[in-house]
Amino acid sequence: MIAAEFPYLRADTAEEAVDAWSRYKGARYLAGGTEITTSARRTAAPAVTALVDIKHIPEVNIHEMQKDFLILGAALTLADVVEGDAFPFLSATLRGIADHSVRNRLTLGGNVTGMLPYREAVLPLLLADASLQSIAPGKEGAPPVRREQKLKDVFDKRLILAPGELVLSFSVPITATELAWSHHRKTRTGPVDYPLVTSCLIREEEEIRLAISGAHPYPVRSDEVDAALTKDSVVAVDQAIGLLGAFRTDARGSADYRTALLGNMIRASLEELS
Amino acid sequence: MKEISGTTELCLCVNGEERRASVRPGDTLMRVLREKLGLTGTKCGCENGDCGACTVLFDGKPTKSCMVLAVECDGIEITTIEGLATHPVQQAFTEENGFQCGFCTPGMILNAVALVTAHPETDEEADREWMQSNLCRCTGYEGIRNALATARILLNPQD
Repeated sequence: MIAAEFPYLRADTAEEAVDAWSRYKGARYLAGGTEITTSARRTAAPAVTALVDIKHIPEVNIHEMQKDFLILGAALTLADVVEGDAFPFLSATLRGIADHSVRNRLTLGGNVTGMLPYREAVLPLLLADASLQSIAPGKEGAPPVRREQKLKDVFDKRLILAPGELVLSFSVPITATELAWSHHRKTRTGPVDYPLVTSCLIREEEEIRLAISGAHPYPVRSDEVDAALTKDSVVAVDQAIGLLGAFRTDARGSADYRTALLGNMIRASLEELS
Repeated sequence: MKEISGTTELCLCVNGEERRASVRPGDTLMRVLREKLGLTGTKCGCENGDCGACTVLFDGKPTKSCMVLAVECDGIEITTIEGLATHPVQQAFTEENGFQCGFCTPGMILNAVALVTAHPETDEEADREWMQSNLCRCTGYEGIRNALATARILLNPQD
């Protein structure tokens, strides 16, 4: 239960949603709602001034191939994406997040834009060079602005969005869904836990690309690391890890342990992809 | 655009019946089921989406009702443990002693009903993946696992 009083608004179009956000400064968009309900109950999040439910907007529920792209609506649940399995690399990564029942609520957009450090859904999307479609309120009463951007251009530790900007969908090149991939995930306890480290690798011809979560307070992908791995893949693992910066130490594991885990994961992945 | 502020009377479809309740936008489905509709079979455990004691079926899909706001449930078929009456999965849990203190049992059973419906044949990987959503502090997992096997036999006697 959320103790605060606030209005609930159910938008039927993307334009209605951003208009509602503009009317209630500090409003939050609601899709799966898992983070909102749990953080608001613990008063761990800023006060909610309004919730704008986006689940009934048709374009955030798209799950189909369009020309050369797989389009995944931001309000698709992780379970929907896993069951559709149009992008097996993404499906395998999503199956590691939370538990099966929670994945019936967690949404793709919610995971990518969430407040938690892990946001593992973004890893395959970054590696597949996905784009995101969004809509933002217009300035000074102007109509809302729609835009499409490469995910890698607007992701630096977290998704960089304008105030009130709503992610509508992700588009993944179909060719990228067919590339060889490898996914490894280690937790401190059992399968339903946050990751010590999650590593995702993809291979496109001779190029190796890596994205990781858990080792830092945010997901990481780096062109510099990819270049090091591609150049001399097996020998360069330690060098590539060194380029990832300091790993974190917390109750789940030390930085040294995470470093060793990631090294093993990358070496195993390189063997799988060779 | 639909807008709800303050306390509003909401119509929910629960166990095949239309039920009315006065709710605030911040009220979770779990609280409304228990405190407004008297359906106390939905248990309040962690209220954090971890334990699964509050699991209900949401258009047939197991969902933790502590993470859903009641105002979001317009047009959704909600099934609680009270709505099952005498389901073969319940019989299987009884036969296999798939419970100890019983607190987690409603959530376990609803998740198991959805599981054996989606996977009528034995599927150990699916069983493990689905049932990880529910915790049993009594650690009665062996009986619960046996109950899944018995439920499938009860539901598909020709197998």
